[in-house]
Amino acid sequence: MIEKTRSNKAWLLILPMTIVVAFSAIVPLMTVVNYSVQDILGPNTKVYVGFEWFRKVLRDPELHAAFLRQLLFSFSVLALELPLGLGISLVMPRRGWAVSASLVVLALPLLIPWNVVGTIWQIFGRTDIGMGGAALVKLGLHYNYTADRVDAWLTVLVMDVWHWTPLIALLCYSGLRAIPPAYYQAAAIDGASGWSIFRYIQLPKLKNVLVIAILLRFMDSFMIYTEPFVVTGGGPGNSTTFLSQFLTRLAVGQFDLGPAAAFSLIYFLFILVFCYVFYTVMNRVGQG
Amino acid sequence: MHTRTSSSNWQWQRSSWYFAALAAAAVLSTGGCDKKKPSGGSGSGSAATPPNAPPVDRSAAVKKWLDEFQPSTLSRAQQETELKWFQDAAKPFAGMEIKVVSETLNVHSYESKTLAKAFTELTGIKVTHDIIQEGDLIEKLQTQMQSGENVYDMYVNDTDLIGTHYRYGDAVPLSDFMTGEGKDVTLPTLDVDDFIGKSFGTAPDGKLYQLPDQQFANLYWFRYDWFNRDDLKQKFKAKYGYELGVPVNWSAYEDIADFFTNDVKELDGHKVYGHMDYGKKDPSLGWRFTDAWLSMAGTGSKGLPNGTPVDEWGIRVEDCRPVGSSVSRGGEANSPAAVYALTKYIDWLKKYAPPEAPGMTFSEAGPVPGQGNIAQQIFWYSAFTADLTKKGLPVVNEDGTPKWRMAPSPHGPYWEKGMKLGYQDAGAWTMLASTPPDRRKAAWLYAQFTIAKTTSLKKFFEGLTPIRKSDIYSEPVTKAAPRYGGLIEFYRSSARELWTPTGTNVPDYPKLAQLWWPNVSEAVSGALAPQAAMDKLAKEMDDVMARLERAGMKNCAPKLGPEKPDPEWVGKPNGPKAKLANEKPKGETMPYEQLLQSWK
Repeated sequence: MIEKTRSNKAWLLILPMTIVVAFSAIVPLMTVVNYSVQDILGPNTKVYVGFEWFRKVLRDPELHAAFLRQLLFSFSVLALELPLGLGISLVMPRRGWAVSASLVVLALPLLIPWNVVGTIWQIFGRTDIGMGGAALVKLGLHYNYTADRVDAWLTVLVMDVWHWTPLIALLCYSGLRAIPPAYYQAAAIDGASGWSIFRYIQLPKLKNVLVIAILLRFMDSFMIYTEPFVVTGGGPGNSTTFLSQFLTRLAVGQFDLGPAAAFSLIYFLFILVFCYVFYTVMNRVGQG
Repeated sequence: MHTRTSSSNWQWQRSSWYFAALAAAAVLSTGGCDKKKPSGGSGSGSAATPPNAPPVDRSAAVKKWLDEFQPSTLSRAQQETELKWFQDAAKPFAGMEIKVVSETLNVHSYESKTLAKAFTELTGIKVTHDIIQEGDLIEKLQTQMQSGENVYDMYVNDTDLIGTHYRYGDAVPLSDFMTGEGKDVTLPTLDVDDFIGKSFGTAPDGKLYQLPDQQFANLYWFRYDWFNRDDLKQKFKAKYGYELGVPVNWSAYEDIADFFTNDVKELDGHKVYGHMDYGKKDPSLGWRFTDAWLSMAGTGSKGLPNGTPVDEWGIRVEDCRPVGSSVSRGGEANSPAAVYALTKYIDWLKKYAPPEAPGMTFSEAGPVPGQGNIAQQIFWYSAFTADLTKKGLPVVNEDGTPKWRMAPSPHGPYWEKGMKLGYQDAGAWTMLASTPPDRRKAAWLYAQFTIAKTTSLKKFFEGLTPIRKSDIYSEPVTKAAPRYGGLIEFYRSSARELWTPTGTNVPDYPKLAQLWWPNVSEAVSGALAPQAAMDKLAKEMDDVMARLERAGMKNCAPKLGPEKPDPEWVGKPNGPKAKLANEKPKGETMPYEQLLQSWK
């Protein structure tokens, strides 16, 4: 019997990646953990406070409200963008010059930087100089996103739908194009209706694409900051203030590193847990 | 005028898959390391002259730049002597690259584009003078203060932070530096006593920490041409029973606002408004209040430059130690006067300002009076004088004189004689202790160059933010005064002493200032009543001060006083003022010309 020689040299191959990950993620994360248990007021002015910041963050009624607002926003975004994106992908052309044209048109909002998107909608919605806002007022509607909470909320929501529905549409379109023609041929032979084709061929085949789309849009919308910051600043009042704005005010505005670190960790853990649960459930549904 | 820019620059760039890194980055942007770099982190500074640098004719540079620096309060020969002194003093630092920063104002653009270039050509020290939004500047300053890493070699930082710098001990006392470590690089003709804002940068220990580079006041702005129209004057008097003129109190301001917005409505075919303001939820909304708005209403105690024992933020201070801002601790942040100040701000914004004003930030609202449809503005920064005197604007006559004037701000019903009447501040050169000694010496040379008598008068005409008495009383300024709408008259009067900065009472300006705008915003939206918003603000300020007390500060740390029932404080001597039965006394106005006479 030939004895196998054992060598640990293979571990060296993963060393570079370990170092990169350590510096890009693990070390910063551990630093945040370190900050989260201190009250840091200067390089030489630090006080160990244990879990004080975690308790404060978890008991803050403004953060509770922002959290609920954030959840509502993310689920509203998903509820609107998923069917819209899927619908658009179903009606998109399949051949000829129209394919390229529609892809370019759909991609345009995705290419615009976030702060520019915010600026566009900030001006578009103004009732004095904005095309959208002025048109609504001309129609007799009492629209003013700077003063009315509902108007502000709807403006931010519509802006997000405008900005990100194309991503869902493009993902679904690529998924649809990947379905082999044989499936459609078999359905035609069986005389399947359009709905049956969608329900029993297209939708199941799009499952993985839709999981990715939902995860992407949930995480992105849950972290939304720039667009509402530019359009409404989180107002009027707190009506469009989302979690990222709280974090930014603490970490960048006040430079309050301890509470900001505790909040960052809670925020991060929530997204991690949600995505894990969602991914696991979707996998099980697929297997079932 | 602190941090008065839009903060859209705080925008994050998101990455869908790497939230962990992003969340960490938000907190880690200052770095978690306490180690101090020996050679600084701003640029690749080196005291050695580059070996291949072409020879520069420095004496020719003196001749060249003397032409630029006209007019001046110095003779040409005196200017030449000053410039040659800079050249000699800078020799040990020739070839060094230094980096300084200031906020986005015309005067700083002149420094960045012209003075930095001149200094480099004259001395061989390469200066990068960054112009960034004030919010970013504070972020950089805090990064350096909290990490100990050198980010910039010097900052032009508002003297609002004097209480912060003094208490944390992070800033170098310039008065010590000039007589000690930096004696060999301190201009003999700097003449610190010539600076009108010298006291702004002086801490309770009597030492100068910040030396003014530009100075501005927050004044009342109005359309002088409209206020002198006979038809409008008659109509106003018929309705209110007194003359249309510069309002002395808030009642008159409110009447005039109502008059233009709801009675006059249109002038020359254009819609006009009697008030302009801003209300978007944004950090700049905080400045609308922290820049002495509460004291204009009458919040705080008598005393100059700041009320004693309670200042205009409602912070009560005893023996240089803040003891609380809530009424229950003897402060006034949630007192009747403070609530009145917030209430009037909201009322006027909603009733008399253009409908888009509540959605604007400071920087968006700033140019609006120049568009020609605003009759008056109670809260207007003289730093924008240059922007509103440009030819071609609807508010400027064809001969270049303005159709508007600036005047003292009216005061609210709680105000008493002996209190400050408004806000004035200086962007001032500030040196941090974490900057390496050779770099701060080189930066100090540049800082002095931008405020030396050789350059300061020319700089005044570029930015209209005066810093030196000698400039204000100079002949060229006298000749130009009619073009500046009352700016010079204000700065020549002793009345300007009633306009003062935030002062030394605020123990941590960045942390405390950030508490204001979210609470004000909730009141603007109606989510919170003004009283509830100010109660919340006062409690949050006390909480931050309690943390500062726990952590300790180098000088005059807060020491919160015991809480007592409000009636034990309200209406008592040196306590918060009780609510007035009548918060709207009869309006009082004054002719502008009479006002000017009273200034003389």
